[in-house]
Amino acid sequence: MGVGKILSNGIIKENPVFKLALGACPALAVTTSAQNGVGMGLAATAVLIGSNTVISLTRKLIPEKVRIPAYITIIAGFVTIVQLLLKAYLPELDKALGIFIPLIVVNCIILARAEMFASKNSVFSSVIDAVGMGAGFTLALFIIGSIREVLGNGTWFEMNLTANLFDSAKIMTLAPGGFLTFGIVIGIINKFSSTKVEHKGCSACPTPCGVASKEKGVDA
Amino acid sequence: MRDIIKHGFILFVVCATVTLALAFTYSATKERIDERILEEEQKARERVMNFVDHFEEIEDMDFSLGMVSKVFNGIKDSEIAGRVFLVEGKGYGGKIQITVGIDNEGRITGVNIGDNSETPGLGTKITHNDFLSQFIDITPKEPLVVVKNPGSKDEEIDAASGATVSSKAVVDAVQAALDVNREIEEIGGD
Amino acid sequence: MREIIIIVLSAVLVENFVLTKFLGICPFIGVSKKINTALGMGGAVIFVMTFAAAITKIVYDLLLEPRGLDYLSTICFILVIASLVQFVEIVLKKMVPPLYKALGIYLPLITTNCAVLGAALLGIERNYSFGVTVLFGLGAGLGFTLALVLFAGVREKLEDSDIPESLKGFSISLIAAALVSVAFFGFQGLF
Repeated sequence: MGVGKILSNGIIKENPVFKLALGACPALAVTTSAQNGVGMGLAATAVLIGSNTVISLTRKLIPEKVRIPAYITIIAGFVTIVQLLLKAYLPELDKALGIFIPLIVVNCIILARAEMFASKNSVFSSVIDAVGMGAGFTLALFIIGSIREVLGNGTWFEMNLTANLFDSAKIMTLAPGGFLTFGIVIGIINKFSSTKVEHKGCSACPTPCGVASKEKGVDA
Repeated sequence: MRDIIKHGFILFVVCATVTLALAFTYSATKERIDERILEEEQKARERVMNFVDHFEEIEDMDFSLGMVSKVFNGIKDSEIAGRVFLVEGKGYGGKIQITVGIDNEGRITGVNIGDNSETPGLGTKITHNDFLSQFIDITPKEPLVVVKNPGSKDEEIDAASGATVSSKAVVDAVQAALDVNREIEEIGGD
Repeated sequence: MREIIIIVLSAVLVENFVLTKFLGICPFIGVSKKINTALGMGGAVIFVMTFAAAITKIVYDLLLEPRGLDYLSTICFILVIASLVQFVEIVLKKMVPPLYKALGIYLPLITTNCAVLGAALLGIERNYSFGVTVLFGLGAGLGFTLALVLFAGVREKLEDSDIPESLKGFSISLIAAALVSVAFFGFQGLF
């Protein structure tokens, strides 16, 4: 695959949030403002680039059986590194994202890319894939964050936008507004694209969830 | 059997490498993080008491401090001009770091809200000036109370709308600082 | 006693993990199509979350904090949770086969359920005592189950409703979740 194709795949064709419905937790939780959304997106991208690189480098050394625990350890390592760096250099962002920084560990997107891409491809393509997927994730969070911030707070990147035109609907920055915005954005994307966004839930994230999707009892 | 040893060894190497990388990052960022925290505390102190030259922590306190975690003397022209209290309030979403400044006459010189996990948009109203300015320049004679429709008394603090629990946390914290301050005055301070 | 009830109830209702904290959205949407599966998943989560909260608290208090290693907590906690899930699976399979039959298939889904790691991290961040941490884990699990089961009820009704084509599926689930979440906002300031 060419560089351009891998990139556009991550940003548009297989956008992790809008097309695969992965990473829904941070997409809802930290998108109270455009800035937080972008911050979270970049933090996750940094982790993704790190983990994809290392996992691609070691793909011939780590045996099949211990892949998942090894991957989780590597990902958790990068998450902690990003967390420490944020604490040291961007404390405001660290406070705004709070517990969702360590929770990047269980963000399905990261493990899914490790499993599906980095463990099978060269370092170079894995990095490109990480950049593309990260950009797609950041873009999605930026869009949801912008909508919620403008409607809920009347501002955009903390610049006053509509605050004087109408009373902002506070609920958009609270939990219900998150669900509502995300739901409607997905609906609009459905309307204008040929394939429908389906929540593949845990079956989109291959393992350890994959164990369950083999058994037909669960409709996850 | 050989497989188990091999797999165990590989996992061990992965864990050890990751831990080493973390230890390295930690030691590289630790100084900077500590500096940040101290800097923030210093800024909070200056915000609640801006007329002094520097602050000195009172180290050995021989009475119960309750919610108050640290006390500083504000020094101006090598004399104590007031005290700054670092208080841990119990808010809606967890702990709230509150810094309170009180001068020698028992007048509140400022209240600053630091780290907190209050609900964005509601609980976080306690960080706004509309709410905090109610404390400034009052010299409470009676205990502070949170009310919904404030009367004329200084001691009545109007709760930020939709943030009663968070408002009460701040008022309790300021009251704790006032109590400790009174206790220090009684035993003469130093 | 009163305090215990307040801790559990506020974790269940006031700070419901799914509906107010956005933790565990994936299984919330994924496993809420039928009330039965929702109950199974909920049971497994309650189980693992309570134990995970207890064990991570012990690991943190005895191993990490005294040595100034709190920066290793994320990595330790996720490994503790992953092994706990495996362990529970093996024990249930051997000792309590009927329970394993009911919960077994949901267990592997839990490792990457961010609500479990979230409960562990929040308990530590808020400096709860051991007892409170366990209760908090239990309450968070109960809250997760409550949200899941309630929402499964809503979705069973949605199945038969007339919904615009492009909103069908994931989209309408989220919009319905928004309404359930508004209902949970009524519990704000309960205590």
